[in-house]
Amino acid sequence: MKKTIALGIAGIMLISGILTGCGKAQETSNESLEASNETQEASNEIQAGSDESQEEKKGYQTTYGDKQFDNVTINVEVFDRSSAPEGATVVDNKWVDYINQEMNKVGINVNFVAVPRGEETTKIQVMMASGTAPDLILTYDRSLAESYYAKGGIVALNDYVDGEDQAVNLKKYITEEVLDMCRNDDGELWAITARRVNTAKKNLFIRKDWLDKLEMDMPETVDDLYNVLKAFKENNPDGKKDVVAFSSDTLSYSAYGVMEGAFMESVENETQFNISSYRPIYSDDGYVEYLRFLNKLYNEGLMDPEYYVGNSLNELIVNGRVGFFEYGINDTIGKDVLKSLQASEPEADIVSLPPLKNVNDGKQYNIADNGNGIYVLIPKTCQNVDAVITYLDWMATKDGGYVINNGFEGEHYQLEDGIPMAIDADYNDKDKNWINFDLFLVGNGGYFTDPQDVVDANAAMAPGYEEYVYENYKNAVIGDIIYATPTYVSPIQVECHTEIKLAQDENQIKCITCKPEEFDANIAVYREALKNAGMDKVLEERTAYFTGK
Amino acid sequence: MPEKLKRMDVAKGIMYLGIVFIVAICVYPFLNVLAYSFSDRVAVMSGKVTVWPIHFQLDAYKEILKQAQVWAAMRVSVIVTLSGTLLGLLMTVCAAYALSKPDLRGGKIFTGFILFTMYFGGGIIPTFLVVKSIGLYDSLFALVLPSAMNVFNFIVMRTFFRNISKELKEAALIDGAGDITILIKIVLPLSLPILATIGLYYAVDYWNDYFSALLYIQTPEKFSLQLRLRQILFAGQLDQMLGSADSAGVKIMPETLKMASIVVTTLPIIVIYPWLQKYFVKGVMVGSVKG
Amino acid sequence: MKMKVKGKEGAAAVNKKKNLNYYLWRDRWMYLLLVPILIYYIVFKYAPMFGIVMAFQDYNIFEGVLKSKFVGLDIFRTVFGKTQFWNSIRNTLVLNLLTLLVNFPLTIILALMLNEITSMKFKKMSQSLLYLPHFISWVVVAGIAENLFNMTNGSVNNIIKSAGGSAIPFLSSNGWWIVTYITCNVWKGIGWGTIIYLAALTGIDESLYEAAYLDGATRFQRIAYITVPMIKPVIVTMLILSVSKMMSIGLDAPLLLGNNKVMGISEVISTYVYRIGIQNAEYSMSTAIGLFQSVVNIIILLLADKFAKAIGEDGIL
Repeated sequence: MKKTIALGIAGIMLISGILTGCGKAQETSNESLEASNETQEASNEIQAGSDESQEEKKGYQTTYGDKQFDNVTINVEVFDRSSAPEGATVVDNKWVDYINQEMNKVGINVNFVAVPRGEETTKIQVMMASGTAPDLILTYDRSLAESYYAKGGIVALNDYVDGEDQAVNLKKYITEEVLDMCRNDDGELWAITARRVNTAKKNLFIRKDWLDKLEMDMPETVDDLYNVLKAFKENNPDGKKDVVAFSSDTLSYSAYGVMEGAFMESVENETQFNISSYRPIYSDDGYVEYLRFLNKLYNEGLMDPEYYVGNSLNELIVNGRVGFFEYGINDTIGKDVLKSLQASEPEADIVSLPPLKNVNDGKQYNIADNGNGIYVLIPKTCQNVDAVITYLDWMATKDGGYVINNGFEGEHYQLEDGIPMAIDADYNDKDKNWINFDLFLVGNGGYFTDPQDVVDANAAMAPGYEEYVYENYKNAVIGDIIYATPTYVSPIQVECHTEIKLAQDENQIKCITCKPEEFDANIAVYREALKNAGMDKVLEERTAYFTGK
Repeated sequence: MPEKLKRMDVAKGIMYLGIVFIVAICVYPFLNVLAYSFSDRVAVMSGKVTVWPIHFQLDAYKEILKQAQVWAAMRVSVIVTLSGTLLGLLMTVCAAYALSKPDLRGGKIFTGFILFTMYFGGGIIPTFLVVKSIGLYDSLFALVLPSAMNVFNFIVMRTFFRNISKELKEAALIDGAGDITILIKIVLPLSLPILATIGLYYAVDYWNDYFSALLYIQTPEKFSLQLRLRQILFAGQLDQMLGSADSAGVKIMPETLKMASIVVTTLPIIVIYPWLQKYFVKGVMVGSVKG
Repeated sequence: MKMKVKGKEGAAAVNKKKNLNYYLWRDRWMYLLLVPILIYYIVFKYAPMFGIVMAFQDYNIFEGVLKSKFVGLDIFRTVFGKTQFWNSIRNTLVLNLLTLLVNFPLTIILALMLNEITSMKFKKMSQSLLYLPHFISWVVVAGIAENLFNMTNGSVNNIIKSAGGSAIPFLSSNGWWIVTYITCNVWKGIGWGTIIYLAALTGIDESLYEAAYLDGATRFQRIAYITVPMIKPVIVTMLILSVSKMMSIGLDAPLLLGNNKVMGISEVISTYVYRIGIQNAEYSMSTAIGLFQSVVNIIILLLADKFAKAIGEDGIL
């Protein structure tokens, strides 16, 4: 803790020194700046003397290659998923060697700290509490990251990233827009977040073979869907008796999906959507209609009567029991369920379909993911913040991210039309695929710049189903308007979250599983419960925030 | 022959049947897990596997056992369990014996001192800080020492020690034996069953403990087996909770692999109990007090 | 320590001191045995206890215990003010009490049954297999429970349906969920629980049984009047220890077996703390709740101990 204070004071002094120094020395040292810039670009030699004066004038140099560090070691967290192949550990393998080889060129050693993926939060918190946290920590949970920052243990990264010459590669890859996702109202950059290039998120899926056998059309409206579901159940083409006509991976938790978009009212207006997206049941009457629809399906036996027990969507799919469901964009391939189904029922076919038309205005609304993935934070105990940013900057370069993700040309891939095609999928799995995802911190899913690249990559991973994958990605982005649930979390929201979630858990299920005549009463109870948990205050803050933008 | 049949009462017959039934339902889930681990992925996903593997294969086990890290973790777990059990038994015997003496001055206070810790504790972070400050971070000692004494085990053992025949102890005292001699020559030999039981309790606790390794170990090679394989078991769980963020590029963890990891982590400890059964025999000296 | 006393009092005081020294010397080996124990507890259990103060602070992991703001009983006030907290306490007590009422006697009965088996092979085999469920993690148990008890095609419900009955909502109705929860707990713990009783049963003098047999006692009488009384100390100890954990409950079972439909009963203290974990003051709150649990448990322990002694048994203290 004393160290933190000392570091903080030193940081403040340094920053104020730079700010005053910058202004005065700017004009007189412009020429010398240009001169030393040229020599820097030309070689990677150690330039201790001119470097120091440059630092005072320009601030931290965090673009890879700009600064030669003095044999600095940084500790970087890496998730251990117990998937290391023979002869390697998650902290000691050829990729770690490669990273160090490249980083040593600028005088940085990268030391990896393994954290078991299953309990990473506990481990990191314990390390932070004892001041032994690595220099770079990770989390997928935004509220957690924000709370770390609010508690004062995380470095604000503005001074290392915002300058024009700072972290150039990083900013170019991540893009200003994604970077700003981690900027708070005071303009402080509290984390670097990985860019998610392709934000397609969910899809509706249907048993095409059943549809064809029943000679029905692809449903386009909610009413179409209802008729299809009824037919699936009552006239099942395969003669199945235990059909679960409708299912969805969002039934049991609070994510907003494609189905809801066909009912909600707030989707028509982005600001309104943003405000009410946190528990839309409270302020969006359209969402009530969505629940009413589910209630109807439930009471007519078109849903699994115990849908809330366990998570058996995969099992339902593989056993050929479910007729229509919502899932992640490409999960029928990604979770291996389509192939498994077809292994026992070769005629079965599951295809994705575009969103249903909204009952209010007939438009198609779709859902997208946020443009980001993991959050990278730097605790205040870090002694070399600029080195860490430089590491991230390198990760955003081709030598960094592209190689980490795709491997070496000739060893892991061949270029075909500029697209890396895997030479031997099994070799890649054993050699690089077990870790590259966790090493590549500035992007989610791979080193991509164009959303289409992501689709191509996914298609390449599903031989025989390439067209199918393309179709999935196409449907996932069909829509007159596509929304992403905003990441904004209002302060009151954090405080009330437990209570609100309790109210939701308890009441949502009651509304869906009750008798139709009790539905309206239960909705009233639901909203009352949310109100008592503090939803009004949350709405107030969200309204203020989003209308102010 | 007929006489034997007469003697076999109905009650006994029912009892045998009852036990067979209970054993069957206790074994079933384990057979289920075993069957899963030897089946092929598609069969498992469809939920059709019950007690017999479908499409027998060893893929899941090969996958797990070929990792050098798993063997390293197993070694760690074995070392920690063996030393932990020995240490735990030693300390528990000392405490239980000393405090089983009814007129030990300060005995009640000491017992209360120990008992208190069963209910009140500092929590994860303070314990971590203490362990770290004595230099045990990232060392196997941190896996052995902090959990060396278990209050529950201590109390149970003390109860057993207390109930060993007073007469026996007094007879030995009269013969001039000191406290320690009594412990070694009388109490321990008579306590084989309880020593085996408490030893088993410690062994299982140490073997199943993943949390200590999570807190105190940094080097991947020193992870305990439970911690190492727990990542496999919980791989799917998190992806659901976080939505698709995590799972975008991560391979899915097949059920077969999860089940195989369960078998690998539990098998070594399960085989200990039958081996310990031979200690569940009467102490050698029962019946040596006459009159 | 020097005391200035006079006359008779003085003599008695001196005698008393002498007696104390006498005992300390007589039992010197015992005290010696306790020294490493003492060190162990001080280092690993008492030193970290400063952490309890977190329950009275707005704990910030970066500031640590020394620098976090002291807030007195605020955390407790917040926690006690939440309805859900009290609901979870009620559920914890209900589930624990019912589980104990079923599990405790059944374990003893099973141990007695095993003790009656004369075939050594059968006995050894059963003992080795009965405790297997203890090693199966709750993740697997919950999965199996779902397969067995679900209404649509769970095996148990299939049997019920084919016998003419209608499916029972084992997992989706509050009342039946309690039955399912207890069943899973009993199933998981009964074999393991018998171990300690079996250990105790081996210590019973054979000659007592022989004498009873000669006197013409039935099996039941033999069990009731010899076996059970002989293991009474163990039973009482185990009962006291079990009862004193009334306020605590594991996280895995209720979390994995429960679902939103049966929240009214499946939300317990441990799942409540788990929910709070996402909030800001997580360590303070969980420490406060833990402290509350500890205080209640220790009170129950003291009461149980007193009760045991009152009915003539050795307590724990």
